[in-house]
Amino acid sequence: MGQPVKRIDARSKVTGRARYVADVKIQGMLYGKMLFSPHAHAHIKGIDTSKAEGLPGVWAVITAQHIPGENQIGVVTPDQPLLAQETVRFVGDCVALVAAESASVAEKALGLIRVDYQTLPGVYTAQEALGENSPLVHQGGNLLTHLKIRKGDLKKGIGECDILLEETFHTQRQEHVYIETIGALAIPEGDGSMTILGSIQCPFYVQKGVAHVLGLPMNKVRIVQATTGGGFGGKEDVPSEICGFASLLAWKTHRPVQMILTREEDLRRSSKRHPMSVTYKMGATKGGKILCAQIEVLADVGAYATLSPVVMFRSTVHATGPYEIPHVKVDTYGAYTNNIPSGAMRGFGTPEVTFAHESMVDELAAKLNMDPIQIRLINGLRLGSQTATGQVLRESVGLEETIVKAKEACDWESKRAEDKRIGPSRRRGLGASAMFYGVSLGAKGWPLDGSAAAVQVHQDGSVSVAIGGTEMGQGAQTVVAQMAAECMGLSLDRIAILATDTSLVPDSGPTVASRTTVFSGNATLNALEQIKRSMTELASELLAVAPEKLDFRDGQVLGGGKKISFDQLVQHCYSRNINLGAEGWFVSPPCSFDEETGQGDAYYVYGYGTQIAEVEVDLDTGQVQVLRVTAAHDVGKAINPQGVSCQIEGGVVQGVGYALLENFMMVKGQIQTPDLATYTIPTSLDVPQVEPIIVEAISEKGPYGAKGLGEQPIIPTAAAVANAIHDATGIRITKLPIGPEALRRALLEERKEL
Amino acid sequence: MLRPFDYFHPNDMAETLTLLDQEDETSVLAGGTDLLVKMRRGSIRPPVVVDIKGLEECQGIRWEGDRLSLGSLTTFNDLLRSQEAHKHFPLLIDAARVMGCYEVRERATLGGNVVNASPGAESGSPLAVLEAQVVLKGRRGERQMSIGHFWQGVGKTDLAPGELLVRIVIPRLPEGSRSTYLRRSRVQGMDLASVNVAVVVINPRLPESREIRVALGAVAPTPIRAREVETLLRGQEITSSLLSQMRDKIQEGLAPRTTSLRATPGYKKEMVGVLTEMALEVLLKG
Repeated sequence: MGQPVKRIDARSKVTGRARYVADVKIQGMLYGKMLFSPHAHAHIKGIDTSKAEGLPGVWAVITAQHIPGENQIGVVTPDQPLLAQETVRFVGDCVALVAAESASVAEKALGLIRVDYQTLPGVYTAQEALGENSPLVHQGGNLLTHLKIRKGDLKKGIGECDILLEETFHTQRQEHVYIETIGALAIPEGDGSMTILGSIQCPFYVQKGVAHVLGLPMNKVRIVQATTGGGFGGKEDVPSEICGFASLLAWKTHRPVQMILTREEDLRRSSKRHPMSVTYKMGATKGGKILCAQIEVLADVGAYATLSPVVMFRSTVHATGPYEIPHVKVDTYGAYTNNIPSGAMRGFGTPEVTFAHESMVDELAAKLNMDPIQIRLINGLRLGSQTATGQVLRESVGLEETIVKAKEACDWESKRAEDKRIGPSRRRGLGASAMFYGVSLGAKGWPLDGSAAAVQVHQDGSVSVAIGGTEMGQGAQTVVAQMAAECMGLSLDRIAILATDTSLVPDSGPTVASRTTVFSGNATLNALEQIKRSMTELASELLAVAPEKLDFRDGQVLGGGKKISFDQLVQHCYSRNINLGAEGWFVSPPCSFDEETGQGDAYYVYGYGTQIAEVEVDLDTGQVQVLRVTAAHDVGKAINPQGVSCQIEGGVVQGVGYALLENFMMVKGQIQTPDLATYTIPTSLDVPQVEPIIVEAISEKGPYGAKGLGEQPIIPTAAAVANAIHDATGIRITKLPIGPEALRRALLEERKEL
Repeated sequence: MLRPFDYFHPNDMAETLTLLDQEDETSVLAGGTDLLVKMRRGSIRPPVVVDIKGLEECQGIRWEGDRLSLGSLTTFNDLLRSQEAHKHFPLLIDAARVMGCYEVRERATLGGNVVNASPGAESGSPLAVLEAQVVLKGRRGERQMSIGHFWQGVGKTDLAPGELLVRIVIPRLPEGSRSTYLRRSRVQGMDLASVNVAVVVINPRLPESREIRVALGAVAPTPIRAREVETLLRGQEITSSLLSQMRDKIQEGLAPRTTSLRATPGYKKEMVGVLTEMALEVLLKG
């Protein structure tokens, strides 16, 4: 605990022995495929599946009319049919499913399905969607959500400012690019129930969704998570759709059906990060104290709500950045379009606004002739500060420490003072960016914010832990195993973490929002404490030592000069029929949010971070190379420092992609980047040197003081890179990604002006 | 999804050419790094695939008099391992180094890269600037032609039905020549060139007899020589005003595809000048 350990799943993954859903083939299994809409917006006039049904090897062709339960899969808002019935609203909408004896027969059958469409006018930007007389994506109107913060007196704040800046920023759609595409294997059981194995982030969502679509009670649907190759939010809600497809086909054919998406199918169907336009007005005194922020966020939600209302909540709460600002007005709008749905992605609405507020803070610093670090220290949140939602921070605020540590580690002062010119057409620059991020679901997701663990100590003293949170590559299992080992005084190899299975653990909510370490960790500790109580009671009797003097350490239970080995004590427990199984539960501390004023304790605790990027800009080509990123993150107690460092490195790399090149492009609702040849992510040659720095501002409510971390590291990177480019060239880029063409154009224009 | 096809793996040339001649729609499989992608995508559906990896005649790197002959099965990693390529044609090394990733370089062949005729192919502008010749074989005999004539458009070549590219020959450059290849790409690894240039300088130290050759990739339907720029630079002292003229001239007549996501036509046209200037800076130094 607190020491770097090798991940418990490292060996199985590195050797290729880990079993992903695509590795599982069972007797009689069929292959499922889905038919996409070619149109971004169209009315379905008719579907003729007869030819496809007649193709040898085809077992079933399903359309919306066959769905036995309700054709509805929307996770937050019931606006999304699983199979399009009357209308298709984006090019990833599916109108039919096929199960066949091979994937190629299924594919051939798709080509035989005739769908008669009448195309409809569509809307393709959020601005367009909210215009008068725009085509409607859903009958209720194109405005899905509007969230507000009203704090202090904005007018007064503006009046007191010595300087007031205004700017609009634009961010792009980003794809998760998890290494394993989404896949599912649905197995119809003899008793009419359905078991699903899949690449899944949130099994309890899938259980609810599949039961709903099949018209089954939830106790007839069991979800088992297969080894999952990455999620980043992309497997939060979309697997419910894919598992829904596979289970419909399995229900219809009474045979197991496997559906493994190709990369192209996955890119077409899975949700993306929200494209946003954000306008900031921010003002400060001459001394650099930020007094006011007026913020308007407009997000392209895409064709369905998916998780957008909750994503927008995060954008709203985090819109001011990690600063104490007395006068704040935030309006966040999410609008439907006929684009691919925007949904959950690492950072969940925060990297977008962070790009904007951190650019603004740097601009304020530049105009005030102030060091960017200084302005962040002046305004940064600390213990006792009040956030934009009026929440007073009473514990665990490590922001200042992350700023100071990052600054020192990257040699900020001397590097900022150095000559930017390192050649006739090359410039170097250094840029900082700070962030905060609410841990877990907060006020908007509070009803889902409980988690369970089911633990048993076996006769030989080994321990099994079933948790409701999933391992998707982030290292959750290792962290929970470490905590369990620490709690029981055992070595790590005595702990096994079971694959998440809805039949083993009560509904634990989703594995999202950087909540697993805290929630599955605390639930596990809660269960273990119950078992320890029983064991302690017996040990006290056997050793004749008062229970409060006993300690679980090094495989022993000891105290008062006496000891018994853990394993022996377990045997004694078993011989006396003492229950060594227990279920643990942890619920989020209370949160609140007033819909009218946006005031309340939005999240129970926050993580904080500061990143400093060093870049080199080629003035002739506009190419930016990120040389180094120093990334200091306050994670509470770092249970596995090696895991923390890896998360930081991965987040920075994904952040560099977001900053410089990733862009899931759509034109008139049609995808321009349908594969990984057109949608590019950083390669190993593009990755900067990353220096992770761990800051530990202990959180009382976290297990051993831990907070969440998974998402934080991607949040500040784009802004740090943009600020570094500004330092290098004097150019302020307000649109992501910062491609070479845009930067070169800006550089040429600047030259013209000089 | 791959469609079924007949697969042949002949071991001699005569058998290969017979196969190629017999069948109407035959695809030749060398490294397969382009072919299999196209087949999987369904953009081509050949009923017959002839794997030529067994043909000795298409292998090896050797001098034929004052021309270096590269078998069409030469992989990019073969090139990187070739002392002759390093010594005489460093621009081919520059290009091979950034082509795909290690695994792709281990399979992808020079012949496949040439026949695939992609305007931005990594070997395209280097072979154009080196004035390479291709040697084609069919049942009715062998012919040779300049690579510039061989490429006829995007994905189009002068290869006749039944013909096979067996080797590529490159004339030796005069002693002391220098060469380099530069490209722009969105990411540094595993990406196709957004735009590329290959530059050869003959007699780099003697401005009056100096010859500069330039070829450009991904700015026209095939890799092309920038002849007018070559004329402009020939025998001249390289000054900033000459370079500025060069950057204007090099754009003339270029018509990059407008549909590319990698770069807009305007940026590509600017970049060929910028890259050529960078190349000259490196090649004329010292």
